[in-house]
Amino acid sequence: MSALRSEQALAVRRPLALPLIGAGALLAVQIGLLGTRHLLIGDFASALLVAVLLTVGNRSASPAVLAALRALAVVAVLPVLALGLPLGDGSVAAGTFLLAGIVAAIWFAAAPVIGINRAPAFSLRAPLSQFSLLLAGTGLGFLAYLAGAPRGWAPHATTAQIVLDGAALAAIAVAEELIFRWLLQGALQRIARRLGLLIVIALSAAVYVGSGPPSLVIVMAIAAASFSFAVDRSGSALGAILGRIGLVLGAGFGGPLLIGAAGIAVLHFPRWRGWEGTASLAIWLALVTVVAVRGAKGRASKGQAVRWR
Amino acid sequence: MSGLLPQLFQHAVHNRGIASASGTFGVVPVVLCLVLLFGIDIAGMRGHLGERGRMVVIIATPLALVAALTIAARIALLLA
Repeated sequence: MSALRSEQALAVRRPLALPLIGAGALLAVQIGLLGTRHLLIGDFASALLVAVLLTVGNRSASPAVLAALRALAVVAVLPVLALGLPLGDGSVAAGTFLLAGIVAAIWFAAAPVIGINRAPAFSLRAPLSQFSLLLAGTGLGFLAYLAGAPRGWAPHATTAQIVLDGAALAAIAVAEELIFRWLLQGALQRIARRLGLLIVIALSAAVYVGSGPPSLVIVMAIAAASFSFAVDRSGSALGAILGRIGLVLGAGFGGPLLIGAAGIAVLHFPRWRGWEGTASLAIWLALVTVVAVRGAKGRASKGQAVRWR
Repeated sequence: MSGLLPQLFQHAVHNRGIASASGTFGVVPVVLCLVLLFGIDIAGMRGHLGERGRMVVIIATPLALVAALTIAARIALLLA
């Protein structure tokens, strides 16, 4: 009873407190458990977070806070789904396509409940800048490859398998952008436009912790900051989606094919993956994040893309 | 190099067979699905079912799908 009262008081006095605690818990699970390969306990912790985020704040919180908590619950359920799929010896491409379809279906069904309009996500606003993100994303993809991103195909894959793997990567990139950049960012920026943007950048970059050297995580954070800023300014997720497709294809396919082993001597892979590369990328990340957060206007304030309930 | 893929890759590396994968990670979606549906049942009895109920259904449905796929994979392994 006292716990309920304190939760109500927290929700009324500080509307950002509950989403901030939820986002902090998500980051802790992602970095502390899943990032350090404590997969099973991380899986259980994510499932617990889903149940908690769907339960808290139901009696007292404002609709915007409830929407933010529900969007965080959607993000928390993603690792549970990714880890729960019975891939094993089966096709990784088929599993990735299936996961992309499931995540896109969740976005499609959850957006109206959270109060987010789906249609403007694909609108062609400022087409030149939206398509220029494809180039920017591809460039960041090459940088991600230099920073330690793995190849996008298995060693003995045929051409057809490589094409299928690339298509699966692109499909899941679209689904993830819709969840992180459209659903979560839209919900969080209603209650705090700048802090909301920062949380989205942190959460989408934290997914890569443990999957490569720190320089790779920083490149992904730079990409997240750029895409979040683009969505915030344009009121459309199309540019971010194109940029993300360029990023994953550049990192997994463009980099290995065009730079490949020949580039090792010229481009100094070890330096990019060592402390020099990490430090210079961290400075770049700081600059991009400051520009993105300071320039955030919040789509909700303009009434462009987010429908208030 | 997409966000969910690190987990997929880790999953594939750590669990080489469908049987071991479904035996460990497959149980979590089932438990979460049951907890969510149990919660929605209680909320329904108390008359608090609204948008939260819709949200629970949206999240529980893919979990149930994943659980069903896991069970189907195990049955296929048994029959193979």
